[in-house]
Amino acid sequence: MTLVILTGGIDLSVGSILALSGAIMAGLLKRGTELEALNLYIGYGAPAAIVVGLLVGASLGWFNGLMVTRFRVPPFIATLAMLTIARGLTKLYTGGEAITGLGQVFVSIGSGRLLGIPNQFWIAAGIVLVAVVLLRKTRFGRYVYAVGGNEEAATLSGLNVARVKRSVYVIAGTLAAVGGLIVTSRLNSATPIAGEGMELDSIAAVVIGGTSLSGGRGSVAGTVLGALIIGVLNSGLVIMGVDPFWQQVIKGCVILVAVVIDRLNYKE
Amino acid sequence: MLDRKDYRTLLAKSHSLIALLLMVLVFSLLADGFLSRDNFWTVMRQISVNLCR
Repeated sequence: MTLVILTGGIDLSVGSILALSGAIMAGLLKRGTELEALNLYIGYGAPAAIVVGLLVGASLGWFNGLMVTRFRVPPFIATLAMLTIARGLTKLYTGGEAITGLGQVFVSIGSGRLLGIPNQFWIAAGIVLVAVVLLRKTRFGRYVYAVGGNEEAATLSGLNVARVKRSVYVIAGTLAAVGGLIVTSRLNSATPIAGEGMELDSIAAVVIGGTSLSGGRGSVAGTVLGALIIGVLNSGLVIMGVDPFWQQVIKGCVILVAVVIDRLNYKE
Repeated sequence: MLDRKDYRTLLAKSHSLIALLLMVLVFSLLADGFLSRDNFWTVMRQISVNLCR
């Protein structure tokens, strides 16, 4: 999400892509693929199911990028449409019911531990590390900032803006699928409502972390900080027994305050 | 030696970190079990998924 917002875009579909990718991984593991015309059944092991799920995420991200770059659909609208499409497809694929019992190999990805630390933490740490290197040390990272900072100047200086934008949406879709893998394997179940509303937490983490919604300014480190703030806030409020409705109000206020402070700092 | 402007710049750059530390401090005082090992990993798990999106 940070990369997408750095280019001046937004991706509202990550929660739905998470759900669809997770459901496809679970469905392939549990039911495989039946080609009735050929009287053929294909079973999948965990690695194959994961690869297909990740490819689905990447493809939907690519489609988002295509809508934004080729057909000039505003990112908000393109990804809002994808939010609905992917959620509908998830419900169609799962028949509105959870797919459970996914096998020990798959489940160990989300619920296992390495050196006493949950696997999903290692996965997230790896992604953060790669994203930091990508943004700070590579030409692609500089292109991302350039596109978000001033798209016209980036175009005039010969940058393939459309390719950069498509790439960040593909990355966002793929990472949403990784989120789907983590959630599905941790719960040992793919539910059609997985990831609902999660896109808002994700956007909130990026914004609280100081990334400008108009693009060109921000960092992955800031997003990690933003995610920590959201996580601590969620956890603290739950432990204190604050009414869930009030939790939403408080979270909204924190996001608002963070954005106002960021705006004031930027003006100065 | 930092002058007043430097302090303001430093404060502006680290407001998210300060907010996080304040929140941890407040919840540690108000919520029993917030500073537990289990809750630490619960938060880490939660943000792991958030960071993948």
